[in-house]
Amino acid sequence: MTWLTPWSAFWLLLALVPILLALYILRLRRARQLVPCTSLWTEAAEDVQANTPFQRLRRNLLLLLQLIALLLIALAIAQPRIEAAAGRGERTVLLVDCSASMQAYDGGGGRTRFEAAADAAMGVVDRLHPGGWFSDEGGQTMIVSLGAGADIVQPFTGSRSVLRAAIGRLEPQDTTAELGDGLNMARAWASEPNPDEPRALSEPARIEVFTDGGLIDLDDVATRDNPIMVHLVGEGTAANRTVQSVAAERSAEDPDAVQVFASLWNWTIEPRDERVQMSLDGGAVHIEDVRLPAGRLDEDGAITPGRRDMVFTPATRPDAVLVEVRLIGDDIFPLDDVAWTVVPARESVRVMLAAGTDSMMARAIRAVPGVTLQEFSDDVSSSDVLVLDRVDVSILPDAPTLSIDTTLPSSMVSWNQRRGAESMAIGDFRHPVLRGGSPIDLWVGQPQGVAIDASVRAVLRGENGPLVLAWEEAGHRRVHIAFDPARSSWPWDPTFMSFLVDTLDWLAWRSGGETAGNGVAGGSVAVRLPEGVEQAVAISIRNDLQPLRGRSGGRAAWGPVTTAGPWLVRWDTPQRGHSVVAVQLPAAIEGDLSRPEQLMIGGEAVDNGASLGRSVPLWPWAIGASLLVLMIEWAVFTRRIA
Amino acid sequence: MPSFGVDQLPPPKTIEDLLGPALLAAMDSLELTSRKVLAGRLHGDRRSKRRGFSIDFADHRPYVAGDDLRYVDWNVYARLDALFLKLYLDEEDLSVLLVLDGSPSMDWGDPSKWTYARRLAMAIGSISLASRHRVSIASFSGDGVAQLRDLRGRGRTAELGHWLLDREIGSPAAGDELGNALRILAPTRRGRGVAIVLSDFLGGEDPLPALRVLGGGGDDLHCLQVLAPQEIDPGGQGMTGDVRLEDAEYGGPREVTVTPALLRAYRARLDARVQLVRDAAHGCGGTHLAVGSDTDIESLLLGQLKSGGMVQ
Repeated sequence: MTWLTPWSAFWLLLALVPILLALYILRLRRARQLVPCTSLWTEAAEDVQANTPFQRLRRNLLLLLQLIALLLIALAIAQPRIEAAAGRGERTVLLVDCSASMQAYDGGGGRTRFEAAADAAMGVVDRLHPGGWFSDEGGQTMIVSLGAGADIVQPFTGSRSVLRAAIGRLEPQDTTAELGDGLNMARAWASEPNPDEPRALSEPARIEVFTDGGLIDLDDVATRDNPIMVHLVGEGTAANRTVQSVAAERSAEDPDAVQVFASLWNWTIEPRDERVQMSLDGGAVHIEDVRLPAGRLDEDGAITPGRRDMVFTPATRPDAVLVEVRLIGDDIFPLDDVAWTVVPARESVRVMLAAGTDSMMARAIRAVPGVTLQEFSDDVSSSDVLVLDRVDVSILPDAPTLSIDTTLPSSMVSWNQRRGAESMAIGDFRHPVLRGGSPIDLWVGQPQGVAIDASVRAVLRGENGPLVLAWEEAGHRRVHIAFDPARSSWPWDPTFMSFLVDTLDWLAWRSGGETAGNGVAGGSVAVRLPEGVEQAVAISIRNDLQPLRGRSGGRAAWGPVTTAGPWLVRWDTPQRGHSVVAVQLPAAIEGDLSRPEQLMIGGEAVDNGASLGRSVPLWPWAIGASLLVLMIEWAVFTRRIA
Repeated sequence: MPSFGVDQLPPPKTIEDLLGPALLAAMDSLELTSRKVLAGRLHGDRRSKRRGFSIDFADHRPYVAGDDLRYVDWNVYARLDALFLKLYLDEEDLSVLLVLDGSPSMDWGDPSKWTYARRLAMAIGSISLASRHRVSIASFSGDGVAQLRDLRGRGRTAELGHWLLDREIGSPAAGDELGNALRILAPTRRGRGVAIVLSDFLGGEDPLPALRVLGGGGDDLHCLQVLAPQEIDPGGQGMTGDVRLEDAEYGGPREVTVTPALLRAYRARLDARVQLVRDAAHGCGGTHLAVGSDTDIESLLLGQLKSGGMVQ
């Protein structure tokens, strides 16, 4: 019960109760009346004779009733409100946070935060829809899960059993969650719950959020006019340590060797001794005891974790391999104690070079690890990448192409006269081919003049036009260097080789046969299926099944993926086979499991969970009760004087 | 209620205020009677126990020497040849005692009980004087008893009136003032007669012992209980609300809230008090009549008192 104006009632009682009592204590100032004989009046008067202005306060039913009426009026002025079941026509949306952090085991009583939130949601459903003779079944409640997206688990209904069953169907996800999606969905549904039965809506739906405060968009959400109540779950005091990230790649010098990197974070302010295990394809290959440095407690109370980056001894694995890094031992949040990644199998890129073998580009390509240089032939499909080094062709090759200082018959690029020498370049470092960096002080002699369509990206741009182009045309990726590298300073720049490696990787991607891959929970995961595979199934470590259907190019995708960890993609036809995809936790999920005391949504503090259901004002009842008491008092009074 | 129970008319100043011409004319045909045949002191207009010389024949007795020959029945002597005297009922005067309550409780009411009692006493006294009765009148209060004795004949009416006009309400008495007064008056009476007590009979306890002083001595006792209309029906006369009642005599103040229930309880107690006085009067062989001070005296005399045998 809450009181809106308790002090008003206090001052009212403080002022009126003494006055009321004084009216009974102080003797009434009566009109004097001379009568022949007062003895005739004595017994009926029931008054006492006293010469003092006060009289003893006697038990008086009228005084008691008047005090009760006064108290009830004061109660009404205090404006008490209670939380009660939803009234007829009221709508409530329950948003349940199903994100990864809700799987921490600090929900109380050995429960996870998610289980605690589900229990709290059950409790709210029970209060909103109590059932029984005196309940108001007019309220409508909707349940929305917040995970990889906002999903309506149960549209508006007034059935408690249906709502409880819907809550029972909720499952935690290894993803982040955004409140904004849920609010937008709740508002959309609450504004018109049933298009077939439009009705006037007088009040916005009440929204109750069950979360640990880990929703990632709280600063960007506007509460608008929807009353929002938050039920914070989790104790938020438990220590945690995480395998924050794991990465693995093949060595450039030895593609058979797999190099594994891991970053371990300690979210406590004490150093921790931990045992780390690195496994390849499920077999432990490295176990090491490490000390994680202590985290640092900032002035605002937040913890900056202590970090320990590990580089494991390279292991030889020419085939695709699933890498797992795990912290041995239990803590309250096991989900982030392990991380996986998949290293694709070593596979050489077949490069067909149309140029002299003793050219500068030939020597450079030959230096790229994992590249098999082929002699030029008419069967370009036998190669993964066709390199045209200053060789003009009459038709656009049916293969990924790296063209150098030549004129491709492209419909998306037109060729103009050469430009003058340029000494400056701006790279689009977001493009994969410049992942290793772009040259800064580049001198280029007589680059080609080109005009490009909007779909062609100028990966490297000089003073007067594009220098390196990347686009897709006729089903293949194309990269064009609009100048002769031999007549530029780029080969002497370290970024040239990284450009070459990244370009060959990027070009070979579409034509490559790699089936293993990585993904992030909450997003879609794509996998390339072998030629001829039309149907497959993806199985998570929690035995989630996801049927896949091969699409053009052999790619299959599913999502949003809500379970982190390795997924086994299996197919039976035309030949039985499988591949592995590692789905990692989103980087936005931090190991800081601290829980805010009060949730801030859009910069505004939101009431925390103390209030359930609708807020019902009690002052009309108090006024009604006071009137009833006054009527009783009047009846008693008239009965006395009658 | 500042004027509740206060007489709106000025007190009587003259005999005419006490006894108006109309009332005087109505009284010409009235005579005070006694239900008992009592011996008087002087010859009067009232039949006496004694054989006397009125016109009413009573008996014969043998003549003895010395008897007045005027009363010899010569018709009997002619038939029986013996002298007998005719005896007649004697007509004597009647002793009338009027007792007025002059206590402060009588000085209340609209009209005032005190004024009404004096007017009624004047009327009865005048009738008695006109009947050649011997009239004594007394007033009692806490200050004592004042008495005017042995008035006889119409010529004493004015004296009676002046005496009544001169009377004032006395101070309250601490005890049984009626009993005290009657015990003072009883020995002063010359013979028995009619005793009329005019009072509200509200003071003291049971009036029976006091009334026995007169009734027990053979007097024909009449108790006229004078009550003001405001006493009989205070609610109907305007008493309402929260009031502090102050007793006109010796009672302490009472704070009351006038409600119908309280008025009913009051009326029950008043009726009980009237019944107590009636029982006391009857217990002494007398009569009782409760009279409102707003009752017309002529109507009272010609109505209730005449039908009750007090006057004829």
